[in-house]
Amino acid sequence: MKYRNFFYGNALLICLLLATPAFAWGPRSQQVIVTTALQLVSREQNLPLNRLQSDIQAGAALSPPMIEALYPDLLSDPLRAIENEMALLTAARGAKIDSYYAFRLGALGKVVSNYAAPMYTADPTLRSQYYNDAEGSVNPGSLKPAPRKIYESMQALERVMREANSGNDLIENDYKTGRGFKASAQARLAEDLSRSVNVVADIWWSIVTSRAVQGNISQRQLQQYILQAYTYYVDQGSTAALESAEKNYEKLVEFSPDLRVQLGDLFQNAGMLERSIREYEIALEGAPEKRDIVEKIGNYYSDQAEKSLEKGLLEDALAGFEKALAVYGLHPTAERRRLEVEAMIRQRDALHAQYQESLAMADEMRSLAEDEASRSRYAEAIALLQQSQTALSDVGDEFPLEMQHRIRAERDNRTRIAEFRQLLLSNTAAFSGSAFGPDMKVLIQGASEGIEEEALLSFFNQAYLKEMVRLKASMQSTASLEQH
Amino acid sequence: MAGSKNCPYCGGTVNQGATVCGQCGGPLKKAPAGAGSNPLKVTHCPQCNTPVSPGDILCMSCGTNLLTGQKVAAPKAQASPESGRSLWVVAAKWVSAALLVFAAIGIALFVTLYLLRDPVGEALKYARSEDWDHAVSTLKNYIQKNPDKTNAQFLLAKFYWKMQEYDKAYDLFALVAQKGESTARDALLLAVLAAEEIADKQPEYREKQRSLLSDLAGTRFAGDGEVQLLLALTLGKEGDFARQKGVMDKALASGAKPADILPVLAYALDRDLPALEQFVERQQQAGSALNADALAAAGIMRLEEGQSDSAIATLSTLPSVSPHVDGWVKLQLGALYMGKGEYGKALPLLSDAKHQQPENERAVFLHALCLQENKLTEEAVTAFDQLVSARKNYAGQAALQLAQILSDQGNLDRAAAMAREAAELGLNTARQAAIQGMIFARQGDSMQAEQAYRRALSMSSDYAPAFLELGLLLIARNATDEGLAQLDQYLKLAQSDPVGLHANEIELLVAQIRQSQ
Repeated sequence: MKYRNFFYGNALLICLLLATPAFAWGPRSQQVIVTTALQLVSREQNLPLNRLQSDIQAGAALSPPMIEALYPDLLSDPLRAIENEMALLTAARGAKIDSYYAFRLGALGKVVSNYAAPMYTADPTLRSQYYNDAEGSVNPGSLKPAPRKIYESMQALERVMREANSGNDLIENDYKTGRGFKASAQARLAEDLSRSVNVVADIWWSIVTSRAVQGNISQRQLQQYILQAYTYYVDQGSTAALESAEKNYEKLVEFSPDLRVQLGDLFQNAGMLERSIREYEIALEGAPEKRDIVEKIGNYYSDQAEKSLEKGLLEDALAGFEKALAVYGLHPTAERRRLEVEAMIRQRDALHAQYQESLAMADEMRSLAEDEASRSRYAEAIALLQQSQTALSDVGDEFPLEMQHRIRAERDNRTRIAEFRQLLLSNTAAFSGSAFGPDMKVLIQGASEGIEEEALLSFFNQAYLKEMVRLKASMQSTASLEQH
Repeated sequence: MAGSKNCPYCGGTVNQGATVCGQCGGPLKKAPAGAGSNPLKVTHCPQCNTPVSPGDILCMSCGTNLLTGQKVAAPKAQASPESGRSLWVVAAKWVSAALLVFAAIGIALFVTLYLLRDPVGEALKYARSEDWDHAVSTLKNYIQKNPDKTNAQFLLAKFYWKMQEYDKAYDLFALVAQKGESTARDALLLAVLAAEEIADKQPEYREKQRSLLSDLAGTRFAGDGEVQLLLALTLGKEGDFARQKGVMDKALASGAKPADILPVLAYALDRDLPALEQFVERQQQAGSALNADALAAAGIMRLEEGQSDSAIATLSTLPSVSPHVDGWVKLQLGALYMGKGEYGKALPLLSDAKHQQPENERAVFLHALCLQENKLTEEAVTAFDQLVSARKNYAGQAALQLAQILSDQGNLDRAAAMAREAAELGLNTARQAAIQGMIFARQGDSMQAEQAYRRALSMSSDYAPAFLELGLLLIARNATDEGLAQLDQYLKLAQSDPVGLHANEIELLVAQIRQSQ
């Protein structure tokens, strides 16, 4: 976006500075010329340009400032500008003509048609008047195609320009004398337009059929072309066409790290951040010493991490900061932010665990409540459900699953509490007998009371008996009559 | 020997109906008139009226035996008138003389034998042939004539011992023991045993036993460990545990070697834990560890003194103890666990205790309660049923438990019968009335139920369940305000055991009922 604005700004500045109308033919005339030339080349020369008609027409529809931005030398030296463009397009031609190439052909067609238009060198006022009048008299059916010629130099084009402007005096005179366009210009119009059509078709044909190696086109120019092509595609939003075209571009020129950075910036400005970072990373591979690339990548990952953090995606944010640090270890904020995110993750995990615990407790209470209710113990069930509600109130909205769980459970609890309350009033008898429980303790206590003493006495009686038996046994002989 | 008697002349045994002694021929019945009631004193022959001298046995005239009245020779009248008569007279004289000689010899022999006889030996002889009557009477006669003959008294006591006439045996043994002769110690021990035999039926002998032991243990046998030990045991048997402990100490000091459990019990029954611990320590220092039964007794003693943790540790790890002690230990531990609410642990212990002491109603009752708390309702019903049928201790409480269980099972008629049975078995408590009321309520008889609840509250104004049941009954009868008032009263009482009495739930119920009004 930055580069595009730069082009537009420069073009506008040039226009204002020169204040010279640089273009002939009106818009309709230009479209007719370019379209007719396209049809001629496509039909007669079997060049498949029809599918690119919209791109060609888009090129032909460029405004004068944009044309001048595209061809900086156009006003000062149109022939050279055309020649350079032809050389560039010849050099940039690949196995397949892509959309941007067609766009450039369209733009070139517009320039060439202007150059080969009558009144190009005439008084600007009369020239404008002439082109306006011609605009309403254009009849595509009256155009006459001529056989294709190859323009190997600009002298032929210069001749065509001179031929087109050969009747300028007559037309100027007609306008000056008040006869205007209809005097002679209208009669020449079909021929003049046909000339423009043919010259445009010839120029295109010359470009696409040229076998010459264009040694005067530098890598920088090609890189500039490619950058403009990428800009075109990005503006079009046509990533599929871009991907198709860039295979050709990679063969055309070496993608330097600087070009990659420029492309990365282009994509970044266009909001195509992933593509942008891909370009930066490739650039960094080629020039690892470039600190600005490192910073760009680091910043990219850091920015991505911040965005993830804004969305609450803590793991993504952590990974982003870690990536930023891996690329750019001296990133001014990434390490601090990474530590903060780690702390946030710990807090979140702890909170998550706490929520799950609360939900589990709430579920358990609800389950117990259902058990109690199944035994018609509705008050206990309600108390348990209220405990469940209390547990649920600890669960916040931070985690969607847990939040949904809580909302569902709260709704169920409320419903069941209302039901149980209703049942409670009609079933108070369920509490009958519930207070006898502690009596069991009393019974046990009573039955256990004095057990120690009874045991000891029993032991004593047993031991006493044993002792008497022992004594009796020992006295057996004494008690016998034999002893006397 | 009801069918026999003794000959007054020779002492020999003859039949009761005999008129003449078979051994010496002496008359056993009063001689018929004229036959000579006192033959040795007649002056004329009863046959021929010839004068005879006192002491003659035969009439020299007619040959009549003056003792028996029988003729031993043909009457002189049948001989020839003169010569025959004199021959016969001479012969008669000779015969008479011979008879007199024989009689004199016999009398001399009889007197000699009488003077030389041994009544003690004779009695012993009777005794050995198990002729106890003669044995005893012989010896008693002898003792009557010779009251100082201690040996005869000791023997007679033994006869009574053998005849299982322990009261008489005790008296004679005690007499001998008190005389202090050589047989005194044996007599004392046998007296103790004799008293023991009858003390259960004649409790005075327990006292006599203790008194005798007390007298002699304090004097003659003061240093006799065994006698001291017996005295200690007797005191314990009478429930005098304080003196038992003192005498036991004396017995131990005198060298008595009783079973370990006896000193332990002496201290335990007197609740003298320090003395018990000292004894245990002494035993340990002497290198003789207490046997398992004694350890069990010590453990129970500690339990009684509130040292439940150490007692449980001791009782749970006892080596093999006697079955009797084992039963009590398990009952004790089972009761402890029941008290702590650990019914699962208590169940196997109480099952064993009940198995080992099937007659112990306490064990049976606790076991039944334990079954109930372990939700083994059918088994609990059977166990309570047995107690009710036995109609002994705990029968009333068992009937009430049964009523409660049956009521919960919906068997209301039988539950009501059991609640009445509990009352008939003497269990007239607030709990009984409240459970009966609950059963009435479940049977739909709310009037009787209310009466029963109010009766329960009149018996015990702080019996919480009665307030709850009455409150619920009134609410069910739409007397909500009055019912809530009863429940409020219940909630006040429930603060003593909020969990067991479900205070929170009832509070919630009250709040909700009020809210719903």
